[in-house]
Amino acid sequence: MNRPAITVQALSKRFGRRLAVEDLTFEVPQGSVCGFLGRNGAGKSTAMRMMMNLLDPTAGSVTLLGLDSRRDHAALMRRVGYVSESPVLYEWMKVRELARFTAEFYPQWNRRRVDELFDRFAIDREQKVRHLSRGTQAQLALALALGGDPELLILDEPATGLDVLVRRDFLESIIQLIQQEGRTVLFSSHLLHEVERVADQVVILDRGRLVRSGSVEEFKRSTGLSLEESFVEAVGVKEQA
Amino acid sequence: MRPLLWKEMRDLRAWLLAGVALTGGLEILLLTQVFAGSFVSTWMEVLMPLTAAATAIGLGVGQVAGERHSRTLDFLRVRPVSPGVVVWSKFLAGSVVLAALLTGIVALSFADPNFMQDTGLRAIREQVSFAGLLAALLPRFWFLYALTLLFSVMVDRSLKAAALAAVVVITGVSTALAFADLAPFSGFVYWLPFFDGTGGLVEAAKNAWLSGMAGAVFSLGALLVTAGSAALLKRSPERYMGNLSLTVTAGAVIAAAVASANAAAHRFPELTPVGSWKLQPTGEWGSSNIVAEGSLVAVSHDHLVQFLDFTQPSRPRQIAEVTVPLWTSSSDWNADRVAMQDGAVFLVGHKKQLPADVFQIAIVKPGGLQDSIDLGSERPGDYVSAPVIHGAFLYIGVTRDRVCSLLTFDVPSRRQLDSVTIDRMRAPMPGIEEGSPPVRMLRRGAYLYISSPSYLTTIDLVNPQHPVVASQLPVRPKVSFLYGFPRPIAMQDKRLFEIRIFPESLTAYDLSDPAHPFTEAERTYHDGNGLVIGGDGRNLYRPWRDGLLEFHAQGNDLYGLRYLRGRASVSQLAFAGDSVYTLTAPAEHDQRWVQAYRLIQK
Repeated sequence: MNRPAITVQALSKRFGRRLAVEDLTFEVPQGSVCGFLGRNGAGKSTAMRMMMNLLDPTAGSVTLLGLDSRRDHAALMRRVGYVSESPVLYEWMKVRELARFTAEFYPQWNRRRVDELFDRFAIDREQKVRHLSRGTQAQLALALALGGDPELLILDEPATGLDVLVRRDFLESIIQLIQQEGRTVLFSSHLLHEVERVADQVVILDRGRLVRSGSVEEFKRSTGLSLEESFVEAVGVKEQA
Repeated sequence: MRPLLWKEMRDLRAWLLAGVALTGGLEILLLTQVFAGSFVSTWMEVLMPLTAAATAIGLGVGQVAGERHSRTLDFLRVRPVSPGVVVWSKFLAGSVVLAALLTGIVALSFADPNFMQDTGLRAIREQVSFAGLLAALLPRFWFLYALTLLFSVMVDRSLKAAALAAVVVITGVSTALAFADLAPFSGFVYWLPFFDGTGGLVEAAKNAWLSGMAGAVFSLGALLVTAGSAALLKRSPERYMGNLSLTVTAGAVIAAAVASANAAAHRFPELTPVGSWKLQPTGEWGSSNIVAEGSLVAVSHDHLVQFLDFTQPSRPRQIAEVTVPLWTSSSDWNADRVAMQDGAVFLVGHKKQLPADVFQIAIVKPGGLQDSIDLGSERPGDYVSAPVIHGAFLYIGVTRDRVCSLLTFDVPSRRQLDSVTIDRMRAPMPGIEEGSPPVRMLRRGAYLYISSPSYLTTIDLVNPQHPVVASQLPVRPKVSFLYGFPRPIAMQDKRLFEIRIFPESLTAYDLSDPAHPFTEAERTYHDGNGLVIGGDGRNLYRPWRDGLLEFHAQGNDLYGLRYLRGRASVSQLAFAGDSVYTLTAPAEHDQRWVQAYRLIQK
């Protein structure tokens, strides 16, 4: 059996007196599309930022593609793509400049794919980043995250900022594109129907704690409920407890 | 590293443009003579270090903290690049921009076509080259920039990094200055990044070894600090200091500086006055001086002499107040040249007389004006020194037509007995106002030592009516002008000390052979209260804080012994036996004091 693409072990993060993530442990198999679910403030973004070594965990460890996310950070970033919830880019750069700037960091840069995505999202390469809409900036960030041909893509609420019409196409097409190449995707969302449509794995968080993790099919089979119903039940059970 | 360097240079482009606009604009204004000539002097001594410090701090503060605050740092953190490379790229780009901006900032100090007229500026420029100054300053501000970059790694706002850098710089410099006046910290002045009264930077900039050594230490410091910054960012992407820890750190730094300043102020045993006399405010003090003989103290100001009796130091009393008739008020000249012997004060001044005022030495006793000695009519540029009394003879140094002479008078008859030429100065520099070239004199035994612009002259007084030159030691001037500054001299053991400018330095002459002194040592000298130095033969004294500092010269350095604490800063001092009397500078409500200290406790 392949080793997991993501192994999170007893991960915790404390901000002052508040425990944002508590003893989080789960695995995401390679080649899977994993939905990272939870209500607003459940700790999804915090957990993802710790996976990307953008935050120091209070305790625990993260292994991505078999490498320690802190110790092997620079090497790992060649193989992992990440888009944050509200990606911040260098606004004074033109799209073309930002693409070239980003490409210089990677030993292999899939320029054709980036160009395709720019065309698909209708991003003007001569436009300054600051003049792009929030949604277009999110699309630009995604295109750049895919330029390095990542084996693992971590997306934090990737559809935020997109209007309803493009959101569906955006999420499905991108995730399918990645998955077709046998790559792993972890994406967070609180829109369950979106996750259900594309994910084969889910990890559910509530108040910083893991509620449930596993394959979507297993969820449905064991509970006899849709993912949405299962999520409500899981969070509801937690609340009652 | 290449894309990062490109980005950083683009990020710092505004600084480059602002620097070019500032220095270029100021230069155009200078060339078109919009600014007065003193602007460049102000720039070099005040604005240049401030601008350079602001540049070094400004370049560094936002490089990490700003990116952390705007979250663009995350963009870099999720790329396959080490945080160390990110920091070093920023450092490299910042260093290039700093070097470019500092070159412009320093160049502006050398860009005034009229600098020749500004003596302060010219004094520096005659000694320090543009390349020398730039080479001395660049490592200092490079280190400051690296330090700011470290602070930028530690916080999440540019403003916080700037505040921390400002606190560290201000406290660091003030602490260094608080200790730098005496051994073992006197070398601090060579490490300062600005021109202060000590001339430490002048010495550092013109001395290749000193400049190289300081530059190497500062450069190594900059590299080590940056390595620390890289290690910190690599270790954790998060900020290291929250608001509370930042406030605590800044408070601790300030507290440490205050404690250091306090320790510096109280590092010497203190001696308090045994007596004080409060002088009544006169409205305008003019120039004044103090002389003492035994317990009799005389204070002169303008054409007035006050005699004070300190026989009972705890209860001094005024014996007399004598006005010298027909003397001009001294607002336009100095009546601070005075001597005392056998209860008589010999005061140099001006007597109103037609067709021209004359120099006169008034001989004043508590009973009134006793007599006077005329020294001839006054001409512009003339200088008359404080008199030296030796038995029945009075010696006075006079500079007239740029020739310094020693005049000998017989006091009882008031006749001039002799005149010895001791210094023929070269012609004054065109366009430079050098003032009146001074002559300072000090007698020990049968020898009179005269400090004049070109020589230290030793006069043999074996035949006191006709003194002869025993030896002359040429003074190697640091600059080609500036004769018009006083050069106080004092004695300690078998050494004569003389203050020279510019930069201020204390030269020690060995008097083992009293007829033939030779230069022993020279060190930079910092006296924030003015160029006053005195000695009782055992130690040296100079104004320090609200009183006097007693110190001892040893080797090439000065060691503090005691702090003679008083009511206000001291402007003049006089020795008599085991006592020293000080005349304080006008303080609150124009108040002045005469204070007496017993140097040897019984």
